[in-house]
Amino acid sequence: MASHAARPPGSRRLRRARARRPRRLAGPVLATLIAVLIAVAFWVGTDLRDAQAAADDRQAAMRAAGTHAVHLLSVGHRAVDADIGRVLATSTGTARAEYAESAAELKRTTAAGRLLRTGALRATGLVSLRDGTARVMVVGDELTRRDGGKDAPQERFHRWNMEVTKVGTAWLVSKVEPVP
Amino acid sequence: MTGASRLAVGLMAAVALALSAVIWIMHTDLSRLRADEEAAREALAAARAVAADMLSYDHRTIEQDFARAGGYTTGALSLHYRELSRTMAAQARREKAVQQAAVTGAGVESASGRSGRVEVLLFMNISTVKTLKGEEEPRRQVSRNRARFIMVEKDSRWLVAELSTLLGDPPPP
Repeated sequence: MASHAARPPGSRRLRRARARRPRRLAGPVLATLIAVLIAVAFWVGTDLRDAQAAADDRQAAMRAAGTHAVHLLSVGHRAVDADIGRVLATSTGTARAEYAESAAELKRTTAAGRLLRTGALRATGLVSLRDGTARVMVVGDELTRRDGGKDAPQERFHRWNMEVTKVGTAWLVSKVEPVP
Repeated sequence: MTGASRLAVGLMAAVALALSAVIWIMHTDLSRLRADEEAAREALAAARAVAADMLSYDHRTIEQDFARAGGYTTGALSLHYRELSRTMAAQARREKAVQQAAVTGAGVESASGRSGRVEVLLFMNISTVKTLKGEEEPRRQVSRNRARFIMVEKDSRWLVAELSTLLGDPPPP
């Protein structure tokens, strides 16, 4: 008790004030921390969005090339117009123009030979993707037989380099180069 | 500190924690995507670099050729190459066989940086010259192949773990 009485009168107030200072600082410190975290979240989020969009684009371009390849190889006399329509629907630019040009002849030979072609996709590989255009390697096999015929079906192997372009939100094949 | 300001501090602390968790999740996702991209780039370059060597040989140097090719492989494929060297050498010498492979294209089918596994699609032209039994003139054959290399990362190197020619079953009629 004697020692308490010996202290100067302002000492207790000073100690209380010092003890309250960290609590008073907690608010501003947390507010600053939240501001920094929001900035970091925005920065990481933007990078993540871009990286995810690029990954999605890679997958979509490969899927589009693979789908187009199967359509190219699956043209039969029973539904030749629909089959050709599917090829045209998954292509654009040069690829579409070239196919449209040869479609009439393909339709004629397919109908005349009562041909049934079935395609199978073996693999797709992405070579590059830049500015909404992807280069994709495609491997597919084709089985051709005559409807009602007794000959053994013919099997053909295909290798292509395809250029796939983003048109709006869709990826369409814009160039098809068979690799001999 | 009043009750209201204590509540405000508590809320701010909760918000800071939640933001930290969100950043951690986004950063983990971003790292995975970047690792996939880097794995794809590295494995593609490695596959391109070794593919021709792995499928080429000369009857005069066939043991060294297969030994070098085996150095690019791992797992069961390494054993397969050792076996090939034993079984093919005699026939290759007899036929004076020379096989030259050239890569004409390479692309990535899928890539996972986390598991260190990348599938690479390759277009290859393979030229083979051999003199068959009873013939004097050598025969030359050129085949246009498609191959899948499964690359795995081992000790910071990308090695070929599997090799397939992509000749599957014909499509159903």
